[in-house]
Parts: sequence; C-alpha cells; structure tokens
Amino acid sequence: MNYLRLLAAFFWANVMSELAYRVNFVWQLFQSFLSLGISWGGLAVIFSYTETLGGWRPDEILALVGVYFLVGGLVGLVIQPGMEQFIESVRDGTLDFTLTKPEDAQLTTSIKRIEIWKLIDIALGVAVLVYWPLMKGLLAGRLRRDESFAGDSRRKYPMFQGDEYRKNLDLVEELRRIAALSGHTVAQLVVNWTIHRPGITAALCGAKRPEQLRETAAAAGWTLTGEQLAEIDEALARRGTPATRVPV
Amino acid sequence: MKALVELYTQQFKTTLAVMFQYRAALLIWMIGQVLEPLVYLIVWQIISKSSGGSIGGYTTSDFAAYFIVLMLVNQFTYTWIMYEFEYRVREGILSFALLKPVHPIHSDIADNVSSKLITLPIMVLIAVGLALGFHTSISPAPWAIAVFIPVLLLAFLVRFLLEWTLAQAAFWTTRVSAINQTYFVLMLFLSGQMAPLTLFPHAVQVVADILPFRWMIGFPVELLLGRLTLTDALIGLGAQVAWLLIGFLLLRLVWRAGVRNYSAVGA
Repeated sequence: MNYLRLLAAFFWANVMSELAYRVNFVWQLFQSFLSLGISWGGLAVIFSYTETLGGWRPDEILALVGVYFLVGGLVGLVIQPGMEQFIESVRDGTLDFTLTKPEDAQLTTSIKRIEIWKLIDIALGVAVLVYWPLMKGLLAGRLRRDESFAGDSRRKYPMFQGDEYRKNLDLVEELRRIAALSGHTVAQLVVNWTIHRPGITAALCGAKRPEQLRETAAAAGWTLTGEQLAEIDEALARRGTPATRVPV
Repeated sequence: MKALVELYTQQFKTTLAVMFQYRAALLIWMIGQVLEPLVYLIVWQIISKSSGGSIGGYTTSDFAAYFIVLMLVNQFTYTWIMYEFEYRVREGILSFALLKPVHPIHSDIADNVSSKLITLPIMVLIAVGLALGFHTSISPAPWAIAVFIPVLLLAFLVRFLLEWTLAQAAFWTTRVSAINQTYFVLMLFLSGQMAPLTLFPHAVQVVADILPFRWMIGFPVELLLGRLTLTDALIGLGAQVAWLLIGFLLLRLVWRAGVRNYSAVGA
C-alpha cells in the first residue's frame, strides 16, 4: 500500500514538472500522433510495392506496430527513464539523496522518473491493436446488398466488392440470427466477441450518429453463451478465408 | 585565429579523453548507428526479392549499397547537439560557456569533428565488411566523387547549423524533447533514411525537395551511387548552399535573441 502511495506521489510530481514546461506539453500530444502517422506512412510506402513482407500482410504488420507502441510505451513510461536517471545520478553523485531516504532505494530509483507522455503511445498502441473491430461498418449489419459505395473510400477494398461482398453479407446474416438468440444486434455481438478474445482489453468503435454509440455501448456487460460461440465459429469456418484485405 | 587553433586542439584532447573514458557507451552507440540502416536494408531487400529482384530502379544489391553508404553519410553528418542543449539551459551549464571570449559553437564543432575522427575509421571498416557480406559494390564516376566531397561537407555544415539553431528553442521552452522527436521523425521520413526518396509518392518527393532533410542525407548518398546526372548534382549543390545561408542567418538571429532571453533554470 505504501508502495502504491509512493508511486502515486512520484507520478504526480512528474505530471507537475511536465506541466511547468507548457510548450513541450502541448507539442508532445501532437508528436505522438505524428510518430504513429509516420510509421503508418512508412508501411504505406513499403506496401505500395509488395503485398506481403516476409509472409506478413499489411494488417498484421500494423498490429505489430500496435504491439510496438504498447510495449515500447510501457518501457518508455517507467523503466527506461528510471534507468537513465540512475546512470546520471551515479555519475554526478546525486544518488546519495535517494540512498539516504527511508524508503527502499531500489524502488525509488526505479519510479523516480515517469515519462507520462508514453501513456499516449500506450493508448495509441491499444487503439491500433483493435483497429476496425466492425471492419469499417461491414459488421455493423446495416449495409444493403446493392450498396454502391460511390464516392466512398471503402470501394477499393475487395471485401466490399462482388463475390467477396456477397459472402461477407451472408456471414453478417448468420451473425444476425445468432445475436437475436440473446436479443442483441450484430454490432453488439461483434464488439462483445472481440473484447472477450484473449489478450484484448478494449475496443474503439467509431460512430457517426448517437444511436450508433448507444448500440455499441450495450455491447458490454453480457457474455455470449457457449452455443452462440460455437455457432459463430461454424459460421466463420463456412465463410472461408477472405481473398485479400489490401485495398486494390 | 591562433586562439581558435589552440581551442580546437585543446577540445580535441578533451573529447578524446572523454571518449576513451566511456568506451562501452561508445561501442553501444555505434551498434545502434549500424543497426538502424541495417533493418531498412534487410526490409527493402526482402521486398525487392519478392518482386523479381528490383523496385523503382533499385536492384537487391543496390539497396544494400544505398543503406551502407547512407550509414556512412549519416555518421559523417550526425550531431547530438539537440539533446545536449536542453541539458545546458536547464542545468545552467551554458553560463560558463557564455563567459568565454569565443562563441560556444566553436567548442561544439571541435567536439563533433574530433569524435568523428575516432569513430569514422571504425564505421568505414564496418561498411566495408557489410559491403562484402551483402555482395555489393559501388562504382561512381570520377566527377561524382569530385562533387561528393564538397557535397558531404556542405551536408554536415547544413545539418550542424540547422540543428544548433533548432536546439536553441530550449532558450524559450527549456524542455525541447518533443520538438526534437518531431524533428527526428520528419528527418527519418523525408531524408531518405527509411527508403530511397524516389520510391516515395510524388507529393512526398516534392515536400522533401523543399525541406532541408534530403540535402543533408539522401542527396549525397544518391550522388555517390551514381543515380544523379551532373545537372541534378549541381541543383542539389545549389540547394545545399541556399540552406547553408538560411541556416547561418537563422543561427545568428536566434542566438542573439536567445541569449537575451536566457535564464539558467537549474533544475
């Protein structure tokens, strides 16, 4: 308990010291998004020349970038700055101040510096990992079979074209039936299924209208029955492997 | 002039002593300098192999040559002033430098040049080893080699002046880590460190031509690889000279205003 209080105290001290440097504070917000944007841009250049990179598809590499932001963010949040500070304090002798404190010196040196900015990286990493849980509206269950996607960027994805699109909508119909068993909508079923996958902690869902928000909010707070899960697996197996997810 | 020569010799001795004191740190830092271009080298070689041995005029072996030369150019032009300056302002160390009768940029140049005299020979050896390992070689035209020497020097000077100027943001904001990161991310994307710029979409190439990053890294590399015509090289040289003048003017203006604004923070 004492450790937690120490952690909170150090965290606040770090927030306060960052707040003192306002320009850096504001700029850092912009910087995190820019970093992710540049990573994405680099991948876009690479995948404009190839379909797969050593057997990895773009969405898989993007997931890897997500993991990188998440793990790198955690390391950069507390481990790395603590180590750097430690090296510095050995060199200039300020470690004495830490050693003479009554608390465990190993803990206090480790958590003394917290790079709060890395929290943004962690959040971005999580966001990327669960990107498009509703697959750009496909799994929201409201697209019509004769949807033309005119003037819509979705048109260039194979999953919204011809036979692939038909197969996908068949799957959505199956899911609608399974969801109805427990009185839920397709979108609620999809989001619920996603957040109950092992390793997933959150799902970020876009919405254009308030009722979409209300709908996805109701995706949490219940669990799919074993029967429903089995039926979903079956429906996925029947659907087969999608052709490609790369825009063409 | 004599005073400056003395300053440079003295700084050289000090830098040498410091570098030998922190040998392990130096080694780890050099591993980082080699690994980054190596990662991009391998990525682009894989892509090139999977699309039949060449992309956008670069064969698999050209990619190796590109990134190995890039590693050397980056090593030659690299500065660490942007990390250093924040520390100087924040801890107030700059005050000592201001008391000296010469501009503090001189000791930074001397420090930078002398540490490179030590690291460059090692990097050249590593580059030769890599070139043998990846079975690649370059055969630039004699004129390209002749132009390359001033181009490389200009690249170093432009990078040094611009980064020294940007580092002075610390005079106003004290903490500059976010600004530094933005600079390095843009540099990664627009200098040719991630991929040869000719592989990028046209719009990105236009932006890269306007900004200084390309002229500090990508341009010397392309020149030595024999990818530029004499006209391209002269245009590039012109861009470098233009950026050198801009950098020099900015440095003078920002330094004058910055020193007036300077207050040692001491925390």
